[in-house]
Formats: sequence, structure tokens, C-alpha cells
Amino acid sequence: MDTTFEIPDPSDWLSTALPEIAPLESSLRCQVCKDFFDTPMMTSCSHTFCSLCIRKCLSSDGKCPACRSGDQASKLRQNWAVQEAVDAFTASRKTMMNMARRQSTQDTLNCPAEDEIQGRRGIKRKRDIGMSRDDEGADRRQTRSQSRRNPQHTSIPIGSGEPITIPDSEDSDYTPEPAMPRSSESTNTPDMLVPCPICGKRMKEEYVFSHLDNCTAPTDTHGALTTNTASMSRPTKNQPANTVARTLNSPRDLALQPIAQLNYSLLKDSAFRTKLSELGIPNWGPRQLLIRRHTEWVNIYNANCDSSRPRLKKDLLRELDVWERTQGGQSLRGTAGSNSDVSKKDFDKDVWRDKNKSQFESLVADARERAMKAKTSREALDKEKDGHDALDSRAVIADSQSPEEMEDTDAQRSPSYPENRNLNAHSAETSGLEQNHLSLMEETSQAEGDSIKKPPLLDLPHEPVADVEQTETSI
Amino acid sequence: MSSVAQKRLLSEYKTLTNEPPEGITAGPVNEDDIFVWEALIQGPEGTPFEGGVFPAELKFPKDYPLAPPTMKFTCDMWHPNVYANGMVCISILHAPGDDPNHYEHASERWSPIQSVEKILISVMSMLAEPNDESPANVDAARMWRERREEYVGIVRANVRKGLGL
Repeated sequence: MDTTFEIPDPSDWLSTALPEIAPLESSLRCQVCKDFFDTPMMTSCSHTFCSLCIRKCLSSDGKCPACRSGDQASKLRQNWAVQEAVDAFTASRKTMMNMARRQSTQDTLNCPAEDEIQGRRGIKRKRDIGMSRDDEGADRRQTRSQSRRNPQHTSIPIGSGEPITIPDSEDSDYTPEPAMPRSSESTNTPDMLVPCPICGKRMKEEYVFSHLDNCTAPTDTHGALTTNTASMSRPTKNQPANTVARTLNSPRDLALQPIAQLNYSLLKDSAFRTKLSELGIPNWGPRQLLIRRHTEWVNIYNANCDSSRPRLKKDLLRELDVWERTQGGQSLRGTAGSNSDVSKKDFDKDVWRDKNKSQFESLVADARERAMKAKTSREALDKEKDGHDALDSRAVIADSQSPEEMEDTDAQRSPSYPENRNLNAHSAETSGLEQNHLSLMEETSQAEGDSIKKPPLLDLPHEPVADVEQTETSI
Repeated sequence: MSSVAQKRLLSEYKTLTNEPPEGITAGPVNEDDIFVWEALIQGPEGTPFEGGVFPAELKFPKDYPLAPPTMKFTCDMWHPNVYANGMVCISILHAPGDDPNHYEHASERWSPIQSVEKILISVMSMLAEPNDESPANVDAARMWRERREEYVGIVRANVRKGLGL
């Protein structure tokens, strides 16, 4: 795209000699995406938006963005007149803009003596523009095959009185039959005849439609195409070339049937995933993401079905991929989980600390209490080494040990904890009990598949609170 | 390749630059992240906010314009419809689905056809005419209703503070 028009905007006109064009251009833009209408669709309430824009709005809240009356995607109808106006405008925009800009610079110079010369220049300029436009047209024709639909790249002969041709029908996979010259060429041929899309007979463009109604050409090869065209229920009047292009393009269009929206609540997870892979779109992620992805795909795909210049599926998949990266699964990945806020860059740690102060405090208190208990129980152990107490009280002690000690009892051979070794060596009765502990811990650690430290941490707080009192009384 | 939201925000940015509404400036803080904007709003004439310039931060969701942005004043703002933390609470910033206050007409709410410009204009008129039906800042609302002079005093003080006087 031209660098000076990276983001064409209605306000571009304000600084030129033709600021009046700004509202005209605004009216040719969709109010949702602020871009030129792409496949304009009319709602039941007679508002017009891009097909994809209105489909997204309706799938998100089911209301017309302009008047908020409820509507359904299935009730949308193409607004070809607007498409035509947009195509014509975008095709001539650059030329008009250049003229309006030049005019405004001339106005600032404003030398009355040069009026005549300017007039002559003006004629010359027009001719130049005409030529350059033709050149551009030729360029476009070469590159159009791989280019995506772009409002800037439609070439329409302006003011020539010839039928308007929307030449995007020439896609890479379309090879013109010799009997049917490309529609854009047909407008350039001196006889100005257009081929019938069914029988290929050349005739004046305005007769094509009456001819189409009773074209008697063999329908065995093209029958599907005509029914397809008819089923599209698009208004054909005033859109000759477009419809011709459409019909020529039809072999691929046969695949372009709108996808039905699914009733997600009735669909089981596995069936849903199968469905997505049948559609050829990714099927990973949680159910909520699957639903959002499917909705997005239905919107993209059905908007493409509406289009007079449908794109290839791989382009649509690329669009879905952009969605995936910006709004879909890949955008969520980084922030998934409960502490997504914490990982944010602008995370306000002071607020967080204040908000969770009570929790933090109770956690600290818990930890202190447990440390204290561990200490008291250790003391109790030391005492027990000397005195021979009942077995059950020792069981209690073993239970109330702190996690670190538990692990060490588990490890048993650790020489740095003579206490525990002593304990183990000391009392034969307790060893059986500890065996129980060991097996229990092995079980839990196997079940968890996690670090060994975790199970005792989780297990501990149950009994000790009540039991420590016992030990204290026993002390 | 950019998303729909990015394209639309760029387009709005360009319109706001070429055709700025009176008393309003807005644009992305950083070229790398088009989803965070800073806006400057002049205090409307004939109100206690007159003469002040109020900075605010706009944050856009990834599915903009389907969902509205949030707006937060980054200066001291004593106003019935602005929370103590600067968060602006007006109907145009609320999606039609959620109505936390149960008083807003659906027609006043966010819709994809609204824009940054319309939000900022609404906020400007909110400064001039607070809506005390469902205040975000109850104290400010009561003061505005009952002790207008005191309210004006605080607002004026904030204006001076904002200007570094």
C-alpha cells in the first residue's frame, strides 16, 4: 500500500481543497471497524455493517450496534449497492486525493496571471492521471491473484460509461476458458459484449439477465452453478459484472456453504473436539476457549460466504490464527491461572498486600504456632528418651512432629539429627509405628507423584492441635 | 499482522489527531502498545473545573470495540461519578450486559459504534453536569448536593494542584 496512505482516514480530506468529501467517506465506512465496508450486510433494522463486524457483534450480544434492537445473523442480507459505492470510491480515492491536495497548494499560491496556464496544466494532469491509472490497473491485474481483498486495490474505469467490473474473480485457481474471456477484458473489447455465464454466448451486457432467465444451454455441466447463484438470492440487477464474476467463480463457491452455529450446551466435549477438527481448526484448549474459537470461525467463514470475492480457506485460517494470538488461546496462556494479576507488569503490590493482610497475618500466626508446637514436642521427645512412657503418647508425639522432622524420621539415617536416630534406636515399640508412617508417606507420595515434603505438610494440621495438649499434659 | 482492535484504534487515533475535538487530546502512551492511551481533558468553561487539565488513562480490551475501555483519572478528581481511585463511572463505559447500578438506559451504554472521542466528550459533559442518581463517590455526591460551595472549593484546589500552582 502507498506509504502516504498507510491508514486512509476521512479526516485526510480536511486539509485538502475538498473537505466536503470527508463526510462522504465516513458514510462509506463501517461504524464498527471504521474501515471501508467489507461485504456490507443490512440488518433487520436497516443498518449496514461489514459482514464480519456485524456477525461478531451479534454473536457477542445479539443486538444491532446502532439501535440495539435484537437481530440474528441468519437474517442479514447483502447490501450490494453499498459495496459498489465503496468499490468505486476506493478506486478513485487516490486520484481524487491527489487532485484535491494539488488544488489546495495551488490555491495557496493563488497567482491570477497564471490562470490560463493552470487551466492547460489541469488538462494535462488529467491525462497523466488517466494514464497512470491504466498502468496501475495493469499492475494490479498481475498481482491480484495472491493479494487479499483490499479496498484500495480495485480498479474500476471511472466515468467511462462502461459497465463496472469487479475483477476480483480472477483468483489463482481460476483459469479462463477460451470461449469466455475474463470479465475485465470483456469490458475492454471494442464490441462491449459480455459472455453469458452459462452458454458463453456473447451479448450486450444489459441483455444478460433476461437471457439468463431462459438460457437453454445444456445444464448438465453448469446446472449446479445456476442453482447456486439462485440460492444465493442476491439482487442481480445493477450488478451485472459482479454476478458474472460470481458465476464464473462458482466451482469453488460450491464449497462455500455457511456453517451452522452449534448448540454448545448439547454437545459433549469429545464430540465438540471432533467437530472442530472436521472443520479444520485447532481443537485444543478448555471448553470455553473451544466455544469462543468455534464462534469466531463461524463468523469468519460465514462472512467469507457472504463476500462477492471469497478468499481461500488458508487465508481464513490465517485470520483465525491472528485471533488466536490476540484474543484466543495463545493470548490467555500467559495470564492463565489464579494469580494472573500478580504476574502483571503493573501489579500493585501495596494494594495486594493491604487486601490480603488478614490472610497473610493468619498464615504467619499459623506458622509461628506450628513452630512452637514442634519445639515443645521435641522437648517432650527429649524427656521421653529418659522416661518410658506409654506407647500411645509416643504415637501422639510422632504425629505432632514438624514436617522437617517427619522427613528426617523418614530418611532415618541422617546423622545430623542424633535426636531422631536416638529415638529410633531407643524404642523398639515406636519403630513399628514409624513403619506405618513410612508406608503411609510412600503411598501418598506415590499418589501425588510430587515431592515427598508435601504430604506431611498437608496431613499434619489435623490432629496435633488437639493432641499436643495431651502431650503437654503428659509433660 | 494486526488484529481488528489494533486497526480500529489506529484509525481512531488518526481521526483524533487530524480532527481533535475542542479541549480533548488523546493517543497511545507507547507506540508498542496501542491498547493503553493517555487522554487530556480540559475542564469545561463555566464549571469549577474551568482552567484545569485532567490527565486520564484509557485501557482497551483485546476485543475492542465489542467491549468498552476503562478510564481512570491519574490526577486528584473530586466528582460524584469518579471513584476515589480515579475510575470513571459513566454509562457509556458500561457494556449493555452488566448494569451494576440498575439505572442506566440501554441506549446510553457502550456499543461498538461508540468511540474514544464520544467517551471523552461524555466525560467532559459529566464534569459539567454530575449525575448524582447513582454516584461512584457518595461523599462527593452528597457534598455536591448539599454543600456546593465546599465541593467547588475542593475542585478548585485540585485544579490548582494539577497545574502545579
